[in-house]
Amino acid sequence: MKKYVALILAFCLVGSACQPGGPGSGSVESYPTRTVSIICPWAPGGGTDQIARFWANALEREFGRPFVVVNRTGGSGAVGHTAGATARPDGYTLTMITFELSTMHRMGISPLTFEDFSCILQINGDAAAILVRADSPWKSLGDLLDHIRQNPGAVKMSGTATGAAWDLARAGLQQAAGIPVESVVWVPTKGAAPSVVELLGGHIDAVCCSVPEAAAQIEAGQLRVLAVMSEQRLESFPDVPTAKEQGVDWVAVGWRGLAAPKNTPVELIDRLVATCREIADSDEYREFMEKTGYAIEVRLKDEFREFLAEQDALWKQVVEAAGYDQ
Amino acid sequence: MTSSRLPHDPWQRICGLGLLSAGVIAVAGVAIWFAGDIGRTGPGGGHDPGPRFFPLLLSLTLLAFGIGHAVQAALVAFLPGFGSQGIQSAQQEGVPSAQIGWRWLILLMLLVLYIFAIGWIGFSVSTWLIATGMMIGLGNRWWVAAGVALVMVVVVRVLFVILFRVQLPAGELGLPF
Amino acid sequence: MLAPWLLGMVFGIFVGATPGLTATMAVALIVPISFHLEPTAGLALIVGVSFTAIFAGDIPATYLRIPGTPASAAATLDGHQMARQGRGSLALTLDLFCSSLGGLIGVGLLITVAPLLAQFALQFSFYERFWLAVFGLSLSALVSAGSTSKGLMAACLGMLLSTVGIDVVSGAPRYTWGNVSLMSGLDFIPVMIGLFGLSEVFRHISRPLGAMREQAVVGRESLPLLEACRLVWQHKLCVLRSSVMGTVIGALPGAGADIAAWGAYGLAQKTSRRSASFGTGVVEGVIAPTSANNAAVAGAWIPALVFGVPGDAVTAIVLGALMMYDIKPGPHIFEASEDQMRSLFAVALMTQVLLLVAGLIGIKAFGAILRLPRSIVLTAVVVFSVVGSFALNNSLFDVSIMLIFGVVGYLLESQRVPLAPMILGLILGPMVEENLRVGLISSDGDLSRFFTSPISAVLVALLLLTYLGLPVMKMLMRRGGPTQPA
Repeated sequence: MKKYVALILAFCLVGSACQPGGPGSGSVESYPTRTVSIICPWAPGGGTDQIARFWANALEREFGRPFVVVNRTGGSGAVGHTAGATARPDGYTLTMITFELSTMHRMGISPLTFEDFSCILQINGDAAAILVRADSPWKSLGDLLDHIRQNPGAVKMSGTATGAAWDLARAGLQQAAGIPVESVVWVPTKGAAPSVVELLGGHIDAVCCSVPEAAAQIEAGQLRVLAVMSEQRLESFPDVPTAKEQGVDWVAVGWRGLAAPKNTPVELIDRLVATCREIADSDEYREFMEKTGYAIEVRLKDEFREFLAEQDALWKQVVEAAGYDQ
Repeated sequence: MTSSRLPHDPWQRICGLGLLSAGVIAVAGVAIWFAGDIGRTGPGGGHDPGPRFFPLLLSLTLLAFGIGHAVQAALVAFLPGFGSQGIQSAQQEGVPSAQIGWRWLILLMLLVLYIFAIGWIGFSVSTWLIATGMMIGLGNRWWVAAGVALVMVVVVRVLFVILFRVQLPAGELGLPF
Repeated sequence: MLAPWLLGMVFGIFVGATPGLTATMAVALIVPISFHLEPTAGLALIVGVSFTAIFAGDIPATYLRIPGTPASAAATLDGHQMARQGRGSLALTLDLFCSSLGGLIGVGLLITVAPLLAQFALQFSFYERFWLAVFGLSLSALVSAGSTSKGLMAACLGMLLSTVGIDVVSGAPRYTWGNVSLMSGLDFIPVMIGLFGLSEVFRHISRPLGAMREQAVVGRESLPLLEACRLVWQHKLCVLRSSVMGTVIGALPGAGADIAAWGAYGLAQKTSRRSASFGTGVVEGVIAPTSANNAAVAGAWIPALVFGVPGDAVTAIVLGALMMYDIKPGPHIFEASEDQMRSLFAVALMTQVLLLVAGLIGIKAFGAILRLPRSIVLTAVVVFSVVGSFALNNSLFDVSIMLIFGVVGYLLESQRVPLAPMILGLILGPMVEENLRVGLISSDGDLSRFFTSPISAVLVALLLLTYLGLPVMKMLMRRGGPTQPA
């Protein structure tokens, strides 16, 4: 019996010694020939995940091949972004890049920057908002900021992990209002949804996240929005005043986009950009974003890249002021 | 429950306990050593015990368990009759007993080879080879083994590639399957 | 409508019972298909598949001691012992009945008291979740067969492994040595396949060869339906208690079917008259965890529907699909989407009944495969372990992890170290650590907050009772007095 095993192993070794032909890289026209994964650096059920799943479905329909969402969470988004940036640049691993890419290299979480990706397009941009329970004593942004100013360290807020999008958004807000960043205790959680549950349970005082992430609770009258950090009032929530209206000059937008690893062939990127543009212009996308409450903000390829460069500079200064820089 | 097939030689038990404690102490040691490399790279809240705290706590606890088992091994070695009650109760509780054999080492080596082979000659061929080899090694006739292995490869391909659309590695030879 | 539904469930059973194929894969695959059906049928298909996975995971756990999901790890105790005694079919039939009943009770509670349970779940914060995770972990270590210290050691080892990867609270990489594959930590699926699947093959293969050829893994048995019915009726209180407990634990954000199964097992052991013989193939040891884990699936829908917070990847995909059917999760879901909710509930209840049919087919089919010669079954387990761990992330790295833990599992088991606490440690480790650290941040470093809330106090008391009660129980057992007061 043993000789058969030996024979097989010998065959195996001979086979391996044969000339390796190199992995057959598919051409751009035939792309995709197999399943494409879209890495989502955030937990299932959150905003990024929902949008990623819509895009996966839409791309699947356009290309006729499965596009699957792979949640790679942890490390303030660094895990997912790293997995996406270091994947083989063959178009079979795309990444739902998010706001954190602009800040993580400033905080020493990961050396990644937007330059490690080939940008496809920006698909959305949501302004941060400050939410409190409906029964809370704070009726306006001013009330809350005054309370923080008078009782440093008393207010507990949450919304994301420490140093992630909404933490920096509120840090920037405090900075703009002239309040030291450490006057608020930031309680890290895995995302907006669990923070909203903590807020409803009365375990924290306020949540900083985008409005659509808490839309159900706002519409149900359980939560109140104090301010939204955008240039203008939101179309979907016209009654909510901006921070600027309330005297704090601060805008913070969490963006999301699709990207491939850098060095992905340009033709492949162009093909993806063309298809994605159709999806972004479709009524179906508008309807989906309206239903879920997310704001559409589309920038294609190079325009997206320029926007990311601007964001990089803007958040550098907030990260430094908050003392998060390494 | 008298187990005549598995004699409980105290020396075997001492060796087992000794190896177990050595292994656990080694893992704990490595974990403690490299815990020093864990830096505070990210921002943390003022009252966060830090990323180092938990690994250190756990590896110190493991270290204590490892030393405990080493002491137990020493007690079994020097105090005759110590802990024999424990063996009996463990058997009554239905813990599957397994003695460390040697045949699994061959399978392990085959599997390590298999992982490398997947990268060279692709999933299908290497799986067929390993499955055939394993079944022959377990006493099947070679043609039965080869046939059953072929069925397995086909089933796996139908399931994963066609149904679940998983891309199995094709290997570097560029074989069509 | 019935045909695709049942077909989907049989498919779900098959996927859940095969090591390496996960429920997440099954549901993700079914969702696009369901959109081609009429709405109710599509909904039925998704719900059906999502509810079968956990029972399916119990089948290989019972026959082969390879749990299909972590929630099935408790079935490797008494269920597997029963199979070794030639009562595998009885164990699985019981398991199936209890899964179905647990599901019915869980969905029933979901329909009737979901808003109330959601309110209760809101009371759980970092402190309570910390204790809950410690509680689940302790139970798995304490009730597993073998010495207590080895169980706790295995749990510690699992938790230590869970610290590999980027730390969620601070973002610091731990034990990654710059390796990107390690940054996201050790995935529990390849570890579980290795610890239970491959190590089982190693164990079999080291036995004398003669036995391997002659003896099949499963004997020819008929399904003892009547006896199973009688046993369930005898233990109806145990079923009810475990199901309610499972639903409640499942409803807590962050806790899931795994904690529910161990909690129910521990509770059954404490309250049983035969507590000393748990782990040797006791009927209650099968009934309790299997009722609880399927009830927990229903429970997990509560935070998903009411808060939009899915407990796990499967629920997340189901939730995404529900939105396509115009079911919008939120506090007013029961009023706002009344009609859809009614059909959803009807489908969920009906699914539990259909589970009986699909489950019996699954038990029969799996048993038939396992009647093949042992050498073929073992080879198939090896092949599926490799493909399954590869398919998870399309990486050979995961296959290597599987292989390493196959060796680790084999060596640990040979020294009678139980493996279930290790896998639970790997899964619950982050829950313990994050809630402890975030809780400290939230309480400004005040440890007393972990003890003062009523729920924390109850959990701490339960924990103390578990740890202190155990030596007493073991002592009574040694004295040969099996009569243990409830």
